[in-house]
Order: sequence, then structure tokens, then C-alpha cells
Amino acid sequence: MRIQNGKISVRQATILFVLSTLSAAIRLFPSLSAKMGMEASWLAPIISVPFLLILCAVLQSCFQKKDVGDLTDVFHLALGKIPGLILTIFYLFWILLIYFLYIRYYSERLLSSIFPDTDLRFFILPMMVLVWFAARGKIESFARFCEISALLFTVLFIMFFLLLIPSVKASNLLPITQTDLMPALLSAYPVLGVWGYITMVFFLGDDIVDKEAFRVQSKKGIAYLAVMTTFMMIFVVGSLGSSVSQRMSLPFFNATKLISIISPLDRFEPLLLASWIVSDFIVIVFFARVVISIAKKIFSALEMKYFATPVALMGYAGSQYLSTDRFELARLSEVFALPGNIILFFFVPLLVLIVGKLRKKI
Amino acid sequence: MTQLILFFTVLILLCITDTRSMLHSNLKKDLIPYGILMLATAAMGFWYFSNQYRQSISYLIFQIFKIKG
Repeated sequence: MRIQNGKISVRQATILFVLSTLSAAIRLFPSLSAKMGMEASWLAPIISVPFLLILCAVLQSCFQKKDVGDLTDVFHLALGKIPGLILTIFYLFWILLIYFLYIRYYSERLLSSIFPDTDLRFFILPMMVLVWFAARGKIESFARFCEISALLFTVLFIMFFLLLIPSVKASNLLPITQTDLMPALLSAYPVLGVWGYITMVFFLGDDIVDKEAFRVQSKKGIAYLAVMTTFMMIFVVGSLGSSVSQRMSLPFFNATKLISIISPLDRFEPLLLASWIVSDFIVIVFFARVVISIAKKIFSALEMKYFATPVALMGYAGSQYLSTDRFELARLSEVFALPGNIILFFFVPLLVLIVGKLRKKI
Repeated sequence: MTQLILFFTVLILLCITDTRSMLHSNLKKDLIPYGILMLATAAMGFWYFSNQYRQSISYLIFQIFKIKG
């Protein structure tokens, strides 16, 4: 399909979603899912797939009318003008909070992995300058960057998986019995909290063309996510063990330290860290663009590139104000952000669709 | 205090540049939402940088929702 100027295709939007989950997948899934699911934690992505398929079907149903541009339009149509606006503002604040969270996680990760005792601002400032440039730029350029990054990430991760094969112990992953059913279901909790970001893509709905292709493209995206995330869980939990993995702040990073071929090729951590920073950049820009897009809708603004300035500056101050340390940040993620994501990105769209259908507006 | 001054210097400089560009592009309508967002940013920046040891957003959330931190 020919893409118009200033628009991206559904395929590119799906890639954006897949990449936005990558940073959290590396950081959160091997530790939090392992804590909840133990040996069965590698089943978490597979268990989460049906829920994501249902969410995609809900989102697809919301966008059946031709005049619906993005999710804020769906809220207005389904709930009415004032309740729709209140819900949109609530989403704006929520996404802003997650945006701060990711900026802070990015800097904390660098602090805990390679640059201990460094000032946080040393990492936040250059990132926010880049985010400011990217959020002001054209969305199609950013989408193309994501496409190239997706390809590189896939190659890199397959390489990591292949090199980790000798470290994987079957005893860390098996046996799975009926007693593991409940822990396996619980281990899907962080996965669902992150995969719900697909709802956020639809706040950029005005910039997406051929939304009718979403059904096909979303299935491809989900299949890719399920395979990659399951393999990541198998290789990290399988090589470290669930009890070790759940106690580590960066299990995937530690798992790559196990890779050993010949001594000059032993150090793969810089490759992982580089890909991690790129994935952080993508997710932060994605959230910034969503925040800008919602703000543009709320204020009925004509041009959104100027809003990148307050959003980038807010990210700089807000990420530092968000928490005092890494532990507070992890606690906020675990007990507040993840359940909030599940409610706002899974249940609320379903509720909005039901109300919209009952009112015969969608 | 240095951080606060630096933050506001950058904010004011960018604000002037953006406002000039918006006026040049005939986007007067967008000046109000831009101003609101900039004011919100300035308020947050002032609140945090004037005392960086105040209770964090996370702590406030834990207090409001009675979550054990």
C-alpha cells in the first residue's frame, strides 16, 4: 500500500508495538515471571497470547467506522463528550507516568550494569535531547528506524539464543505438572501488563493508514512476540534457573555473561547493552509521541511537533522526581504500573466497546 | 539551585524559539495549549528542582493507595 506523507502503515505500527515491549521484556519478564511461575514461567508468553488476541479483536471492533481516527475518538463516540474527555485526560496522565518510569529505568539500568556511582542526569540528559529531536521529527522516519532496528534485534537475539543453548539445563524448565498451572497463570501477569501497550498504538490512530489490515498484521506481531519472548524465557530461566533469575535485577544481562566460545569472543554484554539502549530510545519516543498525540487531541491543536519541547523537559524533571532509588522504582512497577496497565489497556477498551455497542455508537 | 536556574534557562530559550517559529508558521491557535503544557512543565520543574530531597511521586502513590513501599 502506498503510504501518505506523515502517515505510517499498520505493519509499521505493529513493529512499533513489538519494539516498545522489548525493553520491558528483557528487564521484567525473566525476573518477575520467574518469581511467580518458577519452572513454568517460560509458559507465560504462551498463556498471554489468547488475551492479546481478544484485545486485538476489541480494538479492531472499535475502529470499524470509517470516521474514527484514533482511540480518543472512540472514547468520545462511545461515552459522550465529557466522560470521553475525562477518560482521555486520565490516559494522558497514566502514559506520562509510564514515560517517566521508562526514562528512569533506562538510566538506572546503565548505573547498575556498567556505570556505577555516576550521576543519573549524565544518562537522562542526552536521551532527552535525542527524544526531543525524534518526537519533533516525522513519524514515518521514526517508523522506518524501528523497522531497521527490529531486523537487527531479531538477528542479535537469535545469535544470543543460539550461543546460550549449551548453558540451558532441562531441569530448570521441567517437569511441568498440574500443580504448576496456577503459578504459570500468575507468571503471565507482567507479560500482560506490558503487551497491553498495543492499545497505546491506537492513540496514534490519526497517523495510521489501512487500519483494516490490523487483524492480519496484529496476528503476525503477536506470533513474533510469543516466539521471541518464549525463547528468551527458556534461555534465561533455563540457563540461570528460576530461583537465581528472580533474585537478579538484570537476569538476561547476566545470562549473556555465561556465553563462552573462545576468549576474545566472550564479551557479549556490550552488544546487549547497545541494543537495550536503542530499545529504550524507541519506547521512550513512542510514549512521548503518544503523550503529544493525546495532548494535540485534547486541545484540538493543529501542529504537534512543538509539544515535543514541554514533553521532553517534563521527562527530564519527572523521571528524576519519580523515585528516590531503584527499589522504589521496581516496587512501583510491580504493584502499581503493571496492574494499572492491565486495567487501562485490557479492561477499559473492552468496557468502552460494550458501552459503545449498547449506545449503538460504535 | 544551579539545576533550577539551568532548567529554566533551557525552558525559556526553547519557549522563545518555539513561539517565534509558531508565529512565523501562523499557528497562533496552538500557542495556548503550548503555553499550558510549558507552564505545567515549569511548575513540575520548579517543584522538584527547588528541593530535590522532597518525597518522590512513587512515595506519594504508595501513600495514597496505601501500598507498602
